[in-house]
Amino acid sequence: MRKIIGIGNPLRGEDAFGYDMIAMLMQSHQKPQVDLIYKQQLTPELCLELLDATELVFIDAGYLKGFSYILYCPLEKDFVPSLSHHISVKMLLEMLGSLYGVYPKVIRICLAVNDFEKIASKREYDKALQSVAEYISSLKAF
Amino acid sequence: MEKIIIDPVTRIEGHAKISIELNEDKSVNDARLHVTQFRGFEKMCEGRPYSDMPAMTARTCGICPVSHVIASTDACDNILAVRPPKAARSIRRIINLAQIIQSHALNFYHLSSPDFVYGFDANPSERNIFSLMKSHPQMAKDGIKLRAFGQKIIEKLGGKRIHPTKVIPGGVSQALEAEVRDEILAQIPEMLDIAQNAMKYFKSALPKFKKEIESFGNFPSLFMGLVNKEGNLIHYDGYLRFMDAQGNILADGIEPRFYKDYIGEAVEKDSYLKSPYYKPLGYPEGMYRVGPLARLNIINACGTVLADEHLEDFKNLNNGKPVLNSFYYHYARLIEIIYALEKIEAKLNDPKTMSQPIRSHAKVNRNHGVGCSEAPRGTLFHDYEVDDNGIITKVNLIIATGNNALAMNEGVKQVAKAFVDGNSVKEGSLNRVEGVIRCFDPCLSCSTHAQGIYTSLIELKNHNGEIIKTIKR
Repeated sequence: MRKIIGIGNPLRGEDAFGYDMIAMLMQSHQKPQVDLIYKQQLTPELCLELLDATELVFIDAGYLKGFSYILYCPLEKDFVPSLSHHISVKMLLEMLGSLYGVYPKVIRICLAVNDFEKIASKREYDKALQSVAEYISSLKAF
Repeated sequence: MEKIIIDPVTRIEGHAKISIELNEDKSVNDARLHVTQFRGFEKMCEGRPYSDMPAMTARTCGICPVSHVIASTDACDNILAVRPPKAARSIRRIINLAQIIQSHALNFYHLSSPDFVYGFDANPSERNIFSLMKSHPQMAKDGIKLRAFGQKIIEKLGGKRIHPTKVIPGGVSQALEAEVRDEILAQIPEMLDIAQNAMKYFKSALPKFKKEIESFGNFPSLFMGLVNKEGNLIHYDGYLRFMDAQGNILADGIEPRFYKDYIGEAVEKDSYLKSPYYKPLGYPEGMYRVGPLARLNIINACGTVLADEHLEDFKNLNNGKPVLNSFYYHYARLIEIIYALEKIEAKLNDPKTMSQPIRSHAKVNRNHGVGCSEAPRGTLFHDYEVDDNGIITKVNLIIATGNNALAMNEGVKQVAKAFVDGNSVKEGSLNRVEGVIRCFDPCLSCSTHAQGIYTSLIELKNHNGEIIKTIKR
């Protein structure tokens, strides 16, 4: 089962990217074997919703100074220096593997943003949404 | 004066640093907790309709938003001069208890358990959740299950897991459905087993931590929390009680709207945390603690079977007098999880929870309303003033963690003096200094508010890290 998880706060400017992506996919997505999940933040109990996942796609926005509206895949550099009530993608995957023996294949798509107060360029933001939607539609098994 | 800085403090919610000042002989002179985040909710909310406040103040935090929603709607109820119907009060209590379960579970199983399992002196590369998942997978899984249970209740009854929407001024917006009730009830036996196992483990581990128990924030203080009319544990819709370190009740049966007669707030120069204190004793002598340890100290009973069995053991720790050692916050947290599970079960089995109506309706009848709830970390106050149209003119928030500000500083100083030697600074010693903060399970993002004069120091640095300009206010 492929699961696509959009992460972010829809009230915080460009941090809404993950939320908006899931909303867009819900309207257009045809494939029955895909779960679309939106989460404001990743928490340990999300593991229980991912136990049947074979493929995971994480979509969110990340502050990257000097870069705007570039899509990148930061999984290897992703870490949260301290554990708290919310966790990183890497921590979630570690929990899935260590505790439940679930090792899905993973793609992480992050939109580089500079602004969590507003959407600075609606045109570029929508273009990024469209690009990711097309990419996901074309995604074969990975 | 030489300083040791711990930055960041790890395995807590929010951002903080600890500074430890050393004397010339390298012994510890002082230690302080600095909360480095700044919010501004009290100012931001001015000019908003009172009915916006639950949604706005819920955004103070993504971890304990339920507490804010409960306290906020309580304040709004007072502005409307209504009492929510029984079903609504019951549903609010269930959601609040569910939050306590999920929050306490995370602290115990994921944030604090590495210290209990591996010891405070273990290598940091081992003393973490990654190792715990390998060596004690069932413990890590149990924590996830308890959290999932609590979050599911919040989602089903509150509308959303984070920033719930169905708790509103006057009551709630949706009645509890029978199938949701039954779904939750069916899981309670397993959750109780999990909580009891955690208690068994924790009690078996206690003998290893005698020195920590003695020196982790072990000092006399007052204690404050809500109690019901019988003086028993309650987390919403109760009365304030203050107790001293000998167990004498100093003030009791106080309606939360009169909190200002008893609680003053001091501003610290080096932290965005306010320091509430018990007014009759002044600042800082009026330091008090809140949260699980305080709640269990001030009550006569929990009012549920299993929790009361554990409460008896807890009270015996100091021969019936208040337990002063902050290390026992962890113990109190586990008792509260058990209590919350039992209470949720009782409330779900009570026909009043399914009754109608679920909301009281009114317009603005008062220009001032105070709401109060027991958050996982302690007593939370929302104090709103409105004009005749219900527009917010003034807000004061006393955040659960903020109540513990003085106590956390006292704890940090005590632990630093007991364990830190400036001649040979060991990682385990610094971990213990952090560990006392974990006992309080602070929610620092929630807690930073300020009043009075805002002071700030801004340093501008060039690309080499050299300070090129300083702006001070």
